[in-house]
Amino acid sequence: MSRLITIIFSIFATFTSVAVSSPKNIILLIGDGMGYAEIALTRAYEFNGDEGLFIDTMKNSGSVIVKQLMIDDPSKIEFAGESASGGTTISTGNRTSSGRVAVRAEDGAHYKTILEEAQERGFKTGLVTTSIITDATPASFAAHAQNRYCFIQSSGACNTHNDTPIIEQMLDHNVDVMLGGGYNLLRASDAEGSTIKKKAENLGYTIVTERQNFLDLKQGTKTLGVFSNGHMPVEWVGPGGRGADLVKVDDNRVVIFPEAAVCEINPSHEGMPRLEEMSKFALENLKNDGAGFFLMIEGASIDKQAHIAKPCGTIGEMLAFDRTIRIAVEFAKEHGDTAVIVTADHGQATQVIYKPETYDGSPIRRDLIPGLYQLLLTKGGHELGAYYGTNNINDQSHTGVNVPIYTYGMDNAEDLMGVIQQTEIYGAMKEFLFN
Amino acid sequence: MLKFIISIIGIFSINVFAQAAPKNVILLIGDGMGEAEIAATRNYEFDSGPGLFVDTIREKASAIVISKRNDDASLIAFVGDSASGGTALATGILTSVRRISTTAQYGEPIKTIVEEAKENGFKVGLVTTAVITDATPASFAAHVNNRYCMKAGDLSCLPGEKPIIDQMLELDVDVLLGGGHRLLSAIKDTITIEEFAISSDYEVAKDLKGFTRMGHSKNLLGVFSDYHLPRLWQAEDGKVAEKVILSDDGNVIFPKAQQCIVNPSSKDIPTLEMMTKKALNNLSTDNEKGFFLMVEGASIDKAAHDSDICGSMGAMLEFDRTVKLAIEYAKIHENTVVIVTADHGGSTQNIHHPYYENYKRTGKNIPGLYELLVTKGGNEMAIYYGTNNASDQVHTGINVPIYSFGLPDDLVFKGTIKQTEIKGTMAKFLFE
Repeated sequence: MSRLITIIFSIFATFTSVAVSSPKNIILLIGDGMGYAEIALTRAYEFNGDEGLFIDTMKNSGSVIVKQLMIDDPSKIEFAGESASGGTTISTGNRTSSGRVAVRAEDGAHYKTILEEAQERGFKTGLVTTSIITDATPASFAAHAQNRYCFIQSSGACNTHNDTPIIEQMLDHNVDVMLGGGYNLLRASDAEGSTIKKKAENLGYTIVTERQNFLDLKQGTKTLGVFSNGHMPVEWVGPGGRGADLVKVDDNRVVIFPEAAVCEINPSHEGMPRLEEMSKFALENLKNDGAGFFLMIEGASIDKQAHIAKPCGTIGEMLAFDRTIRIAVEFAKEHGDTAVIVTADHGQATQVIYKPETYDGSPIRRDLIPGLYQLLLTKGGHELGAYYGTNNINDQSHTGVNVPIYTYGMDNAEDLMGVIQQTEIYGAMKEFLFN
Repeated sequence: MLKFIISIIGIFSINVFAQAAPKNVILLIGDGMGEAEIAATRNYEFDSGPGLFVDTIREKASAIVISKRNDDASLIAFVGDSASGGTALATGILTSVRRISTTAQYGEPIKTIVEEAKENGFKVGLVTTAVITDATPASFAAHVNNRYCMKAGDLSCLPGEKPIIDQMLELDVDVLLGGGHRLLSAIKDTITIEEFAISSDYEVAKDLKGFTRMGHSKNLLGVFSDYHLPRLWQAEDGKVAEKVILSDDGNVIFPKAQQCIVNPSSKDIPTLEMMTKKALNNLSTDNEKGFFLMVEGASIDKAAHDSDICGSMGAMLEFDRTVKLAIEYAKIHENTVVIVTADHGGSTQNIHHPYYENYKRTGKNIPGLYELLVTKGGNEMAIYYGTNNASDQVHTGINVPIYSFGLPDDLVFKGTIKQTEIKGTMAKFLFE
């Protein structure tokens, strides 16, 4: 019965909101490489597998099928995704091949993004990330490039396809708020032989590079905030910066387990604005009485730390991302007409495996743990095995697995429940924002 | 609008029959069926498009799976097995791996939903593609300290401990279908299990012929292979995922892409769907109270342990067809709830195609076991098992999916739940 009422209510709500045309907002939060495994690792470490993650309280959920097209033959499917193709699928509703930013796999033709469409209709827009702001995920919303590494004029990746560098496209796009890493981008030359910094200033951007200046910044200004050289430092590290590694063995090739590790605050994160601070700023800045806004927030290093087999890094970033989701949902509760969509672009390699004991209690030998392993001690004093087995070269492979999706405040929430294709997210966002 | 009309019809039909109809729960457990195992199957069979029945179930959530340590029950282990997972589903209580509905460290028995259902006058059935005494079915109808205490004489039985098969028959489980010829000749008191079952009014079948004859006037004990039922699929070369071969320059030589073929030894064995149909028919006959039926797709996990992706996917597809059958049954039988979930996650990973990033791959790139497959639609897919290079991949601690059909709105699983919550919901639906 309650569903019936909800349906009737949502029908009315839709009509009403169209009639008075109040602003509509979307806060899209992308946990890069945030699969169920990365969430489970974080839940285990911080909350001992119990309640505590905000994301676990979101009732409207589904799971998303992720794939991409093959570079050499886009008629063929590759069953594991990547941030550029995943970003493109979310921002445009189209599949593309690895490394492509909002362009078609076959011929590089540009796909219009949800951010571009929102701008055309008078919405304010924002991109917030913990990576360099030109990284694949934010770029997929406000740029078009054949190769995701075409950041600036001097990037080799621009030459092969004669693309305009991503940073220049993003500035020309007039995105109202862009926050993340990359103050090195400011020094780069632009197409006119000037610098990116000058270009941004000429376009009316206020540029900030320090946390304190940023926090003191007046709302309502068009903001370009870049707080680190390249990607922003992560919040947490393992003891001595160590992550997972090949296990050591004794003379009988029996594994010697080190003492369980406790995650530490990363000293180089000090002085950085946190993801939730950047997100709060963006929300206040973009809030308007006109059409509304589209804001994408990325927790970028959940993935980046998994690539290098650093579970503490992933956990710290996942917790920051989770706190940011709470802020987004609280904003939506307070302001209404705001949809919060939380998802990931692709799966990662992280696996939680047994505390080091074999199933039958026999000694663990080298062959039993061929990949990279780190034993952690959770906040509640339980042992937790984090494992990365897809390779031993410090660059774990993404995995092709469904990623979760959670929503709050969507009158068309049913569109994103059950099992969906990643291409369907774009349509559901459009439906919410524009119809 | 269509959805709207359907909701109204749904509400009316529940109200009309609420008083009269018996209540039934069909719990389907895909052993080790994580999102990764489902994704691999979807990719292989349907090139990741529509086709899997589970993908059409709208009520979907994810369940947190953990277990306890047996050396210290106050400590958590973040990975479960079929015994701890089965116990969590059957009793709502966390225990340690290998334990069958007994408490971690202390070994106290914990009452299961099947026992409660029997007490309340419901019929009960357990159907699996494993040996019927395997951890998953056992967790619903037995209490032992070690899952391998299956029959009299098994070394895992503690002195005086009653084996699983003895407990299952004494509980008078109405339908038991799966594998396990070897159980029949075990001794219970002074007679064999087979003799005991017959004397307890069970109809016993050992092959497809006997299965076909099985009716609904007696309890059913059907075992159709010596131990676990054979897997439906195997790779065409008969191999499983392996370490990749290296060329002289140290780079990986990728294997030829395989297709899955039917495993010849699976012929003349009743399928999971056939067994489930038989169970539904038996349990619903002359039954005014209702039934609890657990159906397990066991080989999704068993094959993944062996890094046998074809075995795992064949089992997943058979399980998926059985889910469809169960929901179709629920659609035409009022007050029937279908719950689909897994006991724990597996180790299967889909990784990038060998072309990815265009770098040459050395042995260090692929330390685990690898298999390249060509899907039904002609796409190549790379399957990887990296947790172990011995003979047995390990489970992983990851949420597993949970789907439901037919639960009242206030009981539907949404978002993220704990595995231990499922039993309470089933009990509430059946007994309140």
